[in-house]
Amino acid sequence: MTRESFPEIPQEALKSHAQPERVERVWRRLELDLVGAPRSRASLNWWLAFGAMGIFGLGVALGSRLQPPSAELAAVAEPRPALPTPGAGPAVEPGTPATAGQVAPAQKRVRSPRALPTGEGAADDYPLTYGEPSGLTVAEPVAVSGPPEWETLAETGDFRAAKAALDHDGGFQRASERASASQLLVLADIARASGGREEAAQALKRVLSAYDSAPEAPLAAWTLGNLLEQAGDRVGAADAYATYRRLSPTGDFAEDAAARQVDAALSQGNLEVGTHALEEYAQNFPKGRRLAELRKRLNALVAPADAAASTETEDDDEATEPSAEAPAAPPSAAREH
Amino acid sequence: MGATSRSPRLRLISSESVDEAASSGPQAAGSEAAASVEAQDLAAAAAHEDEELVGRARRLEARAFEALYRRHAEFAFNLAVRIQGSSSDVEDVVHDAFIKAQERLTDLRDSAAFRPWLGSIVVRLVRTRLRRRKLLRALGLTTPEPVEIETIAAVDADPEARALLAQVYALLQTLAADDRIAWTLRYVERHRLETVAVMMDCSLATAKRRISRAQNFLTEHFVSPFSQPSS
Repeated sequence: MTRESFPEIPQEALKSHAQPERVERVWRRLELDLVGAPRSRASLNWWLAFGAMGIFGLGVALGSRLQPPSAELAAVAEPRPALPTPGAGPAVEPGTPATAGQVAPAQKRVRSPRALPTGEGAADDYPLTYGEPSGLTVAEPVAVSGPPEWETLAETGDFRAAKAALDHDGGFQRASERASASQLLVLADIARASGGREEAAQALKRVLSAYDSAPEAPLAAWTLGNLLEQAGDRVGAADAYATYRRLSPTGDFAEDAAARQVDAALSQGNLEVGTHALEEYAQNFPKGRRLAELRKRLNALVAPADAAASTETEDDDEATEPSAEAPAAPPSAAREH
Repeated sequence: MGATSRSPRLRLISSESVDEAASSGPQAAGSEAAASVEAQDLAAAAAHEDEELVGRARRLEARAFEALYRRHAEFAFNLAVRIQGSSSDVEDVVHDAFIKAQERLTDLRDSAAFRPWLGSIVVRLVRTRLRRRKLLRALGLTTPEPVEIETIAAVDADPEARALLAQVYALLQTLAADDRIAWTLRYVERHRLETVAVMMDCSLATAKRRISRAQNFLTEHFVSPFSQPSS
């Protein structure tokens, strides 16, 4: 048997292995393992919050136990005569080091304010401030700051809730004034999702003006280009695509940006800019996906312009030199005029 | 590429028609011009949507990555099973492939080419498994896995098609992993030569050589299951 008669594998005889339950099962596993997956991220945030609170609480508890008030420190520095308290061991003279198994009462109190003598006369012998909570110096609680709620919600894809949270936080303007580059992109997404095209454009422009060297800047330029193109602002879109190409000449969207620049110029009927942009596109992306299509469009636009130009030239020639045999100006020369 | 109610028919094909069908891609093979244009439009639209989803997934938008997963899960599952010839650990392969895809999403230069790029990850994972299995077999730590025809062939595939697939996969089992994968990508998955090269992370010439080697082997050893004895 030769290759010429080798049977084709019938596609319809092959089994499909993507049963819905299998697809779902793998996605559930992925959800737990993926970076930034909504569930895992949310649970991570909760764990972080609980962890921070736990550490803070532990710090407060330990601090209240271990950190003596200044009065206590004074008591340790200048130990008072030992008190004959009920159940206490033998009295220890001031300055006498405590032997093993014996703890000087003053020191014992310092370590544990709860062990303060409660017997009769105890209050008279000890200053009122001794061991009182007012003497405790507790560190100010450290504010646990995280990303704003609108950002967290937007990252989970819940843009409606994110918009509500954003409004609650003071609104788009206030947030955008102090937002980082990545937060501005999130703000733009929220605005786009809620129909606020102008606000979205504003956020993206702010990325380009305030954070033009940030890694988010090229994506902001690209998104801005798309946004303006959809809004019919072809000049603005072309500028944004040019910005994208300047910021990321070899980026993922560079080819598309170059093609769209040509597209925008041709749509405006700007043949000069369109020709230049197309030449640049062809030079940078000789195998560009839209090269043939854009060349065809440019040629279609150039042909009537050439015809008009040559007619005009002929008219001029006739006016200056009324010879019917004068050659018509070549199309390229006509374009240069 | 799932099973359909249509009864499959084997047809004998010439090398030219195989090349033509395969080089023009699965969408165009054997279809009419209008259908081909429509398929290309759909592919272009899908690529555009992929591009957008990849952009969003890069910013760790979980929904975008989920959309990419749901869009390409079937492709990944089928690819993994068909190139390894069994469904063992296929869920692990697909899971690991998407994890790696997310980790390396920034390495993807052409966002519209997410599918072949994902395919290359699946191929790499399966190839590693095949090689590991071969090593274990050489060390006597495992036995060769029999061809699971039920895994490969659709339930409603006709006996002729089932016999063909059983024989082809039994022969493929004996080939080197790279040759087997290259041939499967070309003639079972019907990818273009360029796509096979991309998925196998090798040059076009190497991809052709591997396919050709496998094809020669299969041609030499294949016996038509329903051939009539010559009188």
